[in-house]
Amino acid sequence: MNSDISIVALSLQIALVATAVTLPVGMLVAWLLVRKQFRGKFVLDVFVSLPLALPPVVVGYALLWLVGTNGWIGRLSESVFGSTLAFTWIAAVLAAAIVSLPLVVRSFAAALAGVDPRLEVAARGLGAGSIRTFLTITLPLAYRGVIAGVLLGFVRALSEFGATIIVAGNIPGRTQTLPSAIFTRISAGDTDDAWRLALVSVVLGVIALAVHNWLLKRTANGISSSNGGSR
Amino acid sequence: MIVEDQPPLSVVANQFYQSLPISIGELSLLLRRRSVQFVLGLMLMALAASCGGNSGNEVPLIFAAASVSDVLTESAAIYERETGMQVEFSFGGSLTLANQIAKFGAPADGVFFVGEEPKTILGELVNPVPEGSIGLVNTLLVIGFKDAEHVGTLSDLAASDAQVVIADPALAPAGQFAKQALESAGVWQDIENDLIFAVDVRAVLAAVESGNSDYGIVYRTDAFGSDSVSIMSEIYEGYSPIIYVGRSVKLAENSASAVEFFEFLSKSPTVRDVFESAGFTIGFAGEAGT
Repeated sequence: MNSDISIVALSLQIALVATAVTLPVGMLVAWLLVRKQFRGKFVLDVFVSLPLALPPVVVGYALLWLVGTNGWIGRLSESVFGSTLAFTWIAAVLAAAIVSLPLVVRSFAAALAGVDPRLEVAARGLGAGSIRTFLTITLPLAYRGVIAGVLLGFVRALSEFGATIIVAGNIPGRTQTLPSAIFTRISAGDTDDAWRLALVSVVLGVIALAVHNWLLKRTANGISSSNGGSR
Repeated sequence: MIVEDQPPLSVVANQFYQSLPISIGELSLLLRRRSVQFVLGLMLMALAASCGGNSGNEVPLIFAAASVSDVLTESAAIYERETGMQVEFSFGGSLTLANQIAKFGAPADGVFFVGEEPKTILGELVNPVPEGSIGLVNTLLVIGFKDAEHVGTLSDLAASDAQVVIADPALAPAGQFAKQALESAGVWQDIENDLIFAVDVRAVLAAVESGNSDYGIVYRTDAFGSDSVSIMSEIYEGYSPIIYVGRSVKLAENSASAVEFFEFLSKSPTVRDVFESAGFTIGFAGEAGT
C-alpha cells in the first residue's frame, strides 16, 4: 500500500512536470504554426507531430541516445552534474513531454485558429505589443481549447509507457511509474497487485476527465456571464 | 561634445519601458488572474520538484538479476534493520541491465548479475569481486502447469509438441543457460519451433503459473517460490555454472556504499539463511586482480 502511494506520487510528479514543460513549448509552437508564415514551417509541424506517428519505443530509443553517455545532452549533463540523465526521473519527464507534445500542440492550434485575427490586429493597432496582445486577447478567447489541451497532455503523460521504460528504465522509487509498475507486476505474475494498480489508473483517468469537463463547463459559464455583465 | 550626444538616463529608461511588449500595470493585472497563478504555481512546483530530486544521498542503486529479486529485497530489509542503511534496486534481465549501464550510462552503483556475459559487457566499468565474497549457485528445472502431463527429460519435453517458455537468450542469462542445456541434450532443433521467449525468468514462471503455457525452463529457486507449478525434472548438466556475484561500479557516486552492502551479504548469517531457504547453494569466491 505504501509503495502504491509512492508509485502514484512519482507518476503524478513526472506527468505534472512534463505538462509544465509542454504548456509553454506547445503554446509557442501552436502560435507559430497558426499565425506565422515562415520557411521550415512544414518541418516544424512534422518534427513536433512525429511522436504521434512513431512507436513510443522509437521515441524512447532516440531520446536514450541523446541523453545517454554518447549523446550531446548526455555529455553536457555529465560535464555539468557528473552523471547522464538516462534512467533518471528527468528522463521520464522528457519522454512524457515529447510523446504528449503533439496532442497539446494540436489542441492549442485548433483553439488559436478559432480566434478572429481581426481582434488581434485591432489590439496591435491600439498600441499593444505582440506578447500583450497574445496574453490579453488571444489566450482568453482560446481558453477552452487550451485547458482541453493541457488536460489531454497531462493524461497522455500520466499513461506514457513505451518511451519511458526505454529511456528511464523501471527502477522502483526512482523511475517506476504506474504503467511500468503494472508491467512489472504482470511479468512477475502478481495478478492481484497488477489489477489493483490498473484500477488506480482507471480512477486517476476518470478524475482527470471529470476535472476536464468541469473546467470546460465552468469557463463556458464564466465567459458568457462576464460578457453579459460588460454589456 | 560626445557626452552631450548621449540622451539622459531617464529618456533611455522611458524608451526601454515603451519598447516592452507588456507594461508593468498590465503584468500586475495579469498576475491577479487565477489561471495565470495556476500555471505559474505549476511551474514553481516543477522547479521545486526538480531541485528536490537532485539532492545527493548515500543510498546505492543496485542493478540485479530478476531471479534474485525476492532474496535481495529481503536481505535489504535485514540490512536496514541491522545497520540502518538502505539500498535500492532495479531488477530485470541481467543482459538488459548490463547494457543499460555499459551503453547508456545508467546510474548503477553496484550490480548483482549471473553468468559470464554481463561481466563481458561491463568489462572495465566494474571492479573485480573481492576475495571472500558470497556467490549464489543455482541450477535449472523443467516446470509444468499443474495439470500438465509429466515429462522426465529434455528429450521427452522436445517430443511432447507442447509449447515451452524459456527466457529470451538475447535478454536474460536464464535463456542462455536453457538454450545451452537444450543444445547439449541434442534437442534444440526439435524444440525450437515450440519455444516461446519471455523477457526474463520471472516472466517464464508467470506464464506457466497462469496456465498460459504448459512447460517452462526456470531456475530451481523460482520453482521453490511457487506453489502453483509442478517440478517435472531437474537439469544438472549441459550448461555453464550459474553463479550470482556482486560487483561495485567503478566510477559511480555511491560505489563505496554498494561495496558495504555486498560485504554485509557475505558476512551476515541471517542473510545466509534467506538465500539457503530460497534454494540457493552458497559459495565464497573472489577474483584476484588489480
